[in-house]
Amino acid sequence: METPSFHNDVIEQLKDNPNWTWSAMNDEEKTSYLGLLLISFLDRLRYAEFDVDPVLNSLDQLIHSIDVKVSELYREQFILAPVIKHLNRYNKRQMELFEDNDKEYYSELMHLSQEMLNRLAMIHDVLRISKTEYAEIGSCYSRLINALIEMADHLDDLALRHFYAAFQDGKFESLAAICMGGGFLRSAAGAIEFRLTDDSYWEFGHRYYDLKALISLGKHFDFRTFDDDTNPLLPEVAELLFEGGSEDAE
Amino acid sequence: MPNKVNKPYWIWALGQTGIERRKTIDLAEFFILLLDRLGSEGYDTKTVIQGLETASMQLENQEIADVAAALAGRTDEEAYPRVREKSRTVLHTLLEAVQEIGPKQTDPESFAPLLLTALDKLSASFKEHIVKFHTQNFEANNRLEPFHLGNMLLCVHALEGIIQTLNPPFQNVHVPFGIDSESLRGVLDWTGDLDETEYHYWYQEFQDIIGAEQKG
Repeated sequence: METPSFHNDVIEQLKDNPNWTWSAMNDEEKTSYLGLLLISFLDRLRYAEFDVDPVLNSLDQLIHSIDVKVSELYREQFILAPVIKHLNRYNKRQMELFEDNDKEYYSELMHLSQEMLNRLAMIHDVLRISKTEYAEIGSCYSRLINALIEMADHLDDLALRHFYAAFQDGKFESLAAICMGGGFLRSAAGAIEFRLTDDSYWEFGHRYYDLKALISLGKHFDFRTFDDDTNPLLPEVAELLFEGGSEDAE
Repeated sequence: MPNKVNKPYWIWALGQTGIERRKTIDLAEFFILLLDRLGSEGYDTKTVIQGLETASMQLENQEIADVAAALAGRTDEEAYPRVREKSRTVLHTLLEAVQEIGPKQTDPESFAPLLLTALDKLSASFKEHIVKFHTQNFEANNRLEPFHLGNMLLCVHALEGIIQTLNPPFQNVHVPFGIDSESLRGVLDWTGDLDETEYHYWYQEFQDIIGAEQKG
């Protein structure tokens, strides 16, 4: 029996459920799904002591900057301001629930996470329609995308740095999860970018990520232990890590 | 013998994604898909297939024989759905047999040592390749990504699980393993060129149809 956790709860909800058939989804549905997977993935990383704060902070900053804008908009855009306020209220609620991690509210958190990226896209659409100036919010969106990409790069670096030792230890499943995590985060970033601009550097619709594979780090997995820089590096790994190979990948 | 160019069994299985209801593919079904995928990639799966053929004869089991025939490319594509059904029982049948044989597994006449040695060699060769080339997946401007390496690692995990399942003291019997059918395309994509591979077989099929129409 697995310990109750949001990510395990989501796994149970998704298992064999035909409503979550990636190949049958349109872009909007895929964005919903990626939002849900993203929050579940962050939840699993948090349990494994990975620093997810840069992404959470960038989300918080985005939500806060939207709130500030809503106050201004009430004076100029009487009709649109409540729409944004309403959508952003759900964003705040989602962040609270994620922080509290109370299993009584996993179902609500799942629902809110599922629509998170679409909500952010809708807020952006409404801001665009309002013809208001929203450069500050725009840079918050960029910071969120960058935080996801930086986290992806970090996972890639960890996978490369520790590949040999983990492989020799037979930790194939957890190593697989770390190898796939970076690609998944870039897909999530790509989905946000695509929904905001109709274009994205990171393609998100083609490749499906299985949440179970993404979070199968194994019981008691701890990134603080995994991220051990005393592991000997193969020469070709050192070359990639320190001469810019993987860091330049973006 | 098949009367036309067959696409491999694993390529056929990929084509079912989106057509069939989403489900979890268990270790037994994945075992056969993985063997076929490894064979397509150039790994030596012939001795494993011979091990399965020997097992089918010694156990007088037609299902194992049919699955081995599909892996050896001796089955028409129309029979693949039945092959898949049969593949779901192969691992269990083998497990029951090796459990029954027990200590006699070392008997050179038994299928068990032949099959297990072949699986060990296959796994060793797959792992050796991964270790040797894994840094390519982290190079900039390379079609190979860490994602593809992750998929190969999942396959190593499955293969090692199969070997543990069939080896005394049979501790892996209840270890849960499952792959979301929607992710099969990713799990079997090791080189980032699966779309081209699928196109290759689609084009062969297309040529067969055109050829048949012209003859007709």
